[in-house]
Order: sequence, then structure tokens, then C-alpha cells
Amino acid sequence: MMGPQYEYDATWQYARFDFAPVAPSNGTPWYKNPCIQSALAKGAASTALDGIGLLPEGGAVSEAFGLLHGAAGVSNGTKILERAQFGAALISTANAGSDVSGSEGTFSLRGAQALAGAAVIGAGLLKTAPIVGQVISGISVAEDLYGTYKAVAGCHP
Amino acid sequence: MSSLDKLITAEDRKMRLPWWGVLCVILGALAVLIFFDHFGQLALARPTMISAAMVLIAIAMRWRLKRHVWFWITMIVLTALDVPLILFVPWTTKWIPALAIIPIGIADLCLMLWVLSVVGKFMGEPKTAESRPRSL
Repeated sequence: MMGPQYEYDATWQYARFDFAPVAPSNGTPWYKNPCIQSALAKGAASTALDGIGLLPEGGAVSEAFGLLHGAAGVSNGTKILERAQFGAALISTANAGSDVSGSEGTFSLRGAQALAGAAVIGAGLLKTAPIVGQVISGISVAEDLYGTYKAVAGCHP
Repeated sequence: MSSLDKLITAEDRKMRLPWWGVLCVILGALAVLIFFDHFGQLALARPTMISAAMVLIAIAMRWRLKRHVWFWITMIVLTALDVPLILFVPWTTKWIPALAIIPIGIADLCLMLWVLSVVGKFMGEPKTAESRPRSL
């Protein structure tokens, strides 16, 4: 008679200890969870950088500028995009050096330098074949979104 | 005129996806990522998608050759060559900026266009890269 009672009590205690950290009852909203904040910040940064390739000079975004502001708007839009792409190459270089690789590992310094060099070349090549930049950026943005989803989901064990 | 200009013509450079095309790429890529992740092969998703995309872009850039059997045979052979590259190279799931992947994609595309150009010359199609391609 004593055995089953003891096991029952132990199971109940374990259950209580197991669930306590998983379901916090302090009323903290999900968006204030540091794990989720970190995952969203990384996801937003990588998505923004990868999205740069979606904006080729003279493409859809420049046309949108043109629709809003006339012919001069196309020229201004193109200049803005050129600057954004150049800036993205610089940011990408800096980020590669300081590791924005996500939770699955970090790049070595040599790897980061190689990535930065390739990114600068890639920014220059966007004019050569804008459609390649659009497609690869689209794929990368999808990867970033999915990676962010998985990282946020991983914050809830 | 540089060799890159011969391979990627002025018309090729004007090709762009409309906004809904970009949206389709993103949604399609998400579907492929979920598919590969379901089978535990997420690392293969990126090289597979990029290889497939470059093949499709090469076909679109040389769409005027669609009536030639040699064109399709060449594209099938080039696609088949990508398969061992995807399967046997250890790919990463780390974040790599799109700008760093673009040179690799353009190199792959240029290689395919060059092979098409060479095969076209052998098959009596001397102006493979010079004629007007079809835009998307």
C-alpha cells in the first residue's frame, strides 16, 4: 500500500517541477522574452540585408518611385537603390565579421572575409543580371523567414 | 565587348521579375524549405533551389531556342551535372548573405550560357547569345 502512494506523490512533484519553468506565470508577454527578441532581431537584420537584392536599379521599386514622383523620381529612386546596395555590402561585411550567422555556428575570420569579399562582388554583379539577384534574394529572404520561425519556435521548449 | 557581355546580352540584363514573381519565388522557396526540413535535409534546400533557379533562368534567357532538341538535351545534361554537386558537397545551413551567393549563381548561369553557346555553334546556331531573348 505504501509503494503506490509514494510513486504517486513523486510523479506529482516531478510534474510540478517540470512545468514550472515552461509556463511562466509572471504575466510577461511573449514579445518581452529575450530569446524571442534575439531571434526576431537576427531574423529582421538578415532579412533586410538579403532583401536588398530584390531591388535592382531601374526595377519595380524605381518604377514605383516614378509613378509617385514622375521621371525625376525614377532617377532618384535608382540613386537611392545604388546607395542602399553599397551600404548593404558594407553592413554585410561588418556583420560577417561580428557573426550574424545564427544559432547553428559561427564563421571564422577568414570565412567572414571571404563572405565580405563575395558580397562586394555580388553587389557589383547585380547590374549584370538583375533577375539572378532578385531570385537569389527571394530564396534567401524565404530562408531567413523560415529560420526566424524555427528560432522563435525553439524558444518554447 | 567582354566575354561576359557576349554571354549575358543587353536584353538579358533587362530581364526582371515583377513584384508578384518575387512573391511567388518567396512562397515557393518557403514550401521547398518546409519540404526539405520535414525530411531532415534542410541543408540541401538552398543549393537545390539555387541550382533549379539558375537552370530556369538560363532556359528563359535562351527561350528562342526552345524548338531545338539539342537545347533541351544540353539543359538536361547540365541539370544532371548539378545533382551530384548538390548531393555530395557538404552544404551549410548557416546564414550566408544573398550578395555573397549572387556571384556563385551568376557563375553557374554564365557556365550554362557558355555551354549553350558552344553547343549551338556546333549545331549550326552561330548567334546563340546575340539574338533577342524573351523577357519574363
